[in-house]
Amino acid sequence: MYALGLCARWLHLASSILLVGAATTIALAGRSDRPTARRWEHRVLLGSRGLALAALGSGLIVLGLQTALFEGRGGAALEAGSIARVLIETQAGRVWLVRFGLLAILAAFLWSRLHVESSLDWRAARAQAMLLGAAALVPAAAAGHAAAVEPETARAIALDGLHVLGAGVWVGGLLPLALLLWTAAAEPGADARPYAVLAARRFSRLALGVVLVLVATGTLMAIANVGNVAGLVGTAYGRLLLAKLGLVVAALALAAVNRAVHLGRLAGDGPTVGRPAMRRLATFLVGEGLIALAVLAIVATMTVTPPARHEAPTWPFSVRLSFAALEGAPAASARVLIGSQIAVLGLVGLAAGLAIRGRRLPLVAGALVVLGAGVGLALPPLAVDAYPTTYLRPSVPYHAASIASGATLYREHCAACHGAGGAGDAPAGLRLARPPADLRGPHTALHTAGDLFWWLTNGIPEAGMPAFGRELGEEQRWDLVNFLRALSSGYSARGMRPAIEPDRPWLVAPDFTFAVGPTPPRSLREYRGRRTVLLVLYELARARSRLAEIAGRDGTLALLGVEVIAVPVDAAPDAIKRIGPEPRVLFSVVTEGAQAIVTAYHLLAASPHVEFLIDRQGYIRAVTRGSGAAGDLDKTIAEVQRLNEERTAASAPEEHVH
Amino acid sequence: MRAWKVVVLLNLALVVGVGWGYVFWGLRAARLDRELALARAAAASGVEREWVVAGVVRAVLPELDVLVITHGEIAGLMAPMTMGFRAASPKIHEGISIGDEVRFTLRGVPPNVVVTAIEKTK
Amino acid sequence: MRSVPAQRAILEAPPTRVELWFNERLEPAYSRVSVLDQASSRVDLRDAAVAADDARRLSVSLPALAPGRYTVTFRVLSIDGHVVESKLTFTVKSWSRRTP
Repeated sequence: MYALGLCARWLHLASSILLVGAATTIALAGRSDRPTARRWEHRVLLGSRGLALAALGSGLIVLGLQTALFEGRGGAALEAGSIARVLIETQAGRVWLVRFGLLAILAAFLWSRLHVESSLDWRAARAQAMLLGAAALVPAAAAGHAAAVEPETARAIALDGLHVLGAGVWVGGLLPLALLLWTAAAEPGADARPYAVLAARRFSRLALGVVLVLVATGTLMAIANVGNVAGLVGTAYGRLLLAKLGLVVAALALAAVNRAVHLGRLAGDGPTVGRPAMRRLATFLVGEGLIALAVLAIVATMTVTPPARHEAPTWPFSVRLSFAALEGAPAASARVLIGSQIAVLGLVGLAAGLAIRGRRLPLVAGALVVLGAGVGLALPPLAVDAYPTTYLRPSVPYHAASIASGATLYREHCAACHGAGGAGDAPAGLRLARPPADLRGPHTALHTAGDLFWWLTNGIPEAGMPAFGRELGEEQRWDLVNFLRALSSGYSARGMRPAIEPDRPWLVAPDFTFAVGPTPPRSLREYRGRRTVLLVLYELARARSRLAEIAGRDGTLALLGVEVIAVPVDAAPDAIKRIGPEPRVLFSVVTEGAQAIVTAYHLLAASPHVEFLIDRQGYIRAVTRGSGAAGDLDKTIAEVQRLNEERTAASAPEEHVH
Repeated sequence: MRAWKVVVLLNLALVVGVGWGYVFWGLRAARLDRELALARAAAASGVEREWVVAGVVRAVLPELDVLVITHGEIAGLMAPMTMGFRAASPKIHEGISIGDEVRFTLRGVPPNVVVTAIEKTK
Repeated sequence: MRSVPAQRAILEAPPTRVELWFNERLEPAYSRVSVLDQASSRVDLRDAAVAADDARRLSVSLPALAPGRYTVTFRVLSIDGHVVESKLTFTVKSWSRRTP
């Protein structure tokens, strides 16, 4: 079923693209009265009729299979009701309907016996075929991955549409052009040689521009759909893209040979001059066309493969490059700097070698050596150990409940060696072959969440760290990773003050879920983009005066867009009752979920009374540690006002998780 | 017929077809949407309704006959929030104190609703 | 994907609805979610719908749930034609102490 689906998709895509190419090539070559040219045009037209039927037929199969997929049962592919539902109620169905309608009109148009003797009729008919072909092809972009790109969906669809249109003109034009050259190069077709040569020249000029458009739109779409190197080498979609790129480079190499060598040899008026070159060019064009058809097969596979940006990448190498490796290593930094300068020198030399005509070979060779030396010097210090899971995104969100669960697991499984506080100072740890690292340290920035996950799962045999892959479930290991992230964030956050650093958000606030009495649970994330949150971790005995102070300015805070969430550190379920009528506290007092919040946020700042100011993007911007005595709320309000005045909205913390 | 005439007619038919489709279906759908929104708004107002809501008491103001309650979403009336509600009679808040988790009945024509009954759930 | 209640959440108060946020916009006609109790019988109010203002959010309402473990199963179709099918669980702890 999968194979049938791929074949149908490929056939549909290829025929839709070839239809555009055939029409453009005829229009490009122009009207001619020479018999061979007329014969070629007629053949391409016959081919187009076949292509239109193929596109319609394969389109029906694609629709049937899509219906079966959407409905979740194979039988639906043949039920009129299910198909109608897909056509009317899904975007893919509506796009299909539009495209199929246009393809049907195009087919009817191609099959109709129009007389195109006059120049006006010819131009109208050929332009119409081109227009209908393009109109039937481009909307496909609105049913593909581009439609799911956010933000700027419209831009992504436009880019994708431009990309397939470009592919139609270039890829679709190769085979008709080869046919023209082949026919004209044959003995009885000699009358059309100048016509064929002119067409080849025009096509070459157009193709150069189109390829540039394809490269530009393709790059932008790859960034949107793949995102990073890990997605490119570590996911099915990314690898398909790499395979596609490999084939495209091969096709472009052929195209470059055609342009540089064959095209120039087409000239000449003698009866035999240029003929072999025409045939060779035709052969090369066919080769290019076949590669392009293979590219389309990969593209058809990519359309049914989830894009890399939503997949968990498996890193295939044992190292990765990271600038974090240079922190605190001046010698390595200097080496990278010098190496990169040498590499730039090599690049300049390479550019010069390609630009200058004389002595090209030695110059290019020398430049390559310099470039290689520079890269060889600069890269090794940047290399950091990497594992298959290095770029894996946590499947458990950075949430207080996960951190709290991680904290418990840490006490049970890790503290014996790593120490209760993560300093790596426990007696059992100090006896190991390699003492455990200080988990609080900022060096954790060097390791991704996926690295930590790998070590937890597989251990570090050479250091004596055991593997926990069997003992702890996947979610528990991610809980530990989240705990370690909070632990090291707390270390970095030691310097956080009650005053914000304008425009410098960096400390991500762990999400948390809480409830006030029997109301449904809410989460911190719900305030994102809407409210600033003042999270108050209080100890009632000491904090009455501070709570009274905040309650007294409730209205002002609300006007400034502040949501106050107070969390009793003892996590008492009757916290509201305990506060009682005085002070009259009306902001949220957490009665459920407090335990996890206290555990997680005390890792970030441990103090009997502590207040976190969390901005609208979900970053902790200020931390006030105190005793709970009434302080100066005006200061907090001033900080909120500064937050409200910030213009640059940082993007929300990455939490691309499944 | 001349080919250029066919082309012109074909494109004309396409444009007219799409335009007619928009006028017929697109405008009709937009009108139906508006009517639906109006009908919904009409249904939600002007009629006395009743809700049973869970919440936690935050303050009791006997002098105003007002209870301040943190509550969840009240379907068709308001989002979850902390809010003062007028009690239908002073009797209602007898025995109710701060921190009590309650289930209360709201009745009235929105937005004028009063608490008609309340009971502790804990 | 993200949800409220979160995967594996242990709740003191029963939720009134389950909300799921996806990375891509959904096709409302082909996006289903149901909540099952331990006996695998369906407990949600069968009003699952994609939010009108945010096509990435799918939610369903719940009646007052008894304590226990619940499974949320969903099958959604994203706007670019991919079907995602999965499930998550949450536990309601002690609703009993609240019933009058």
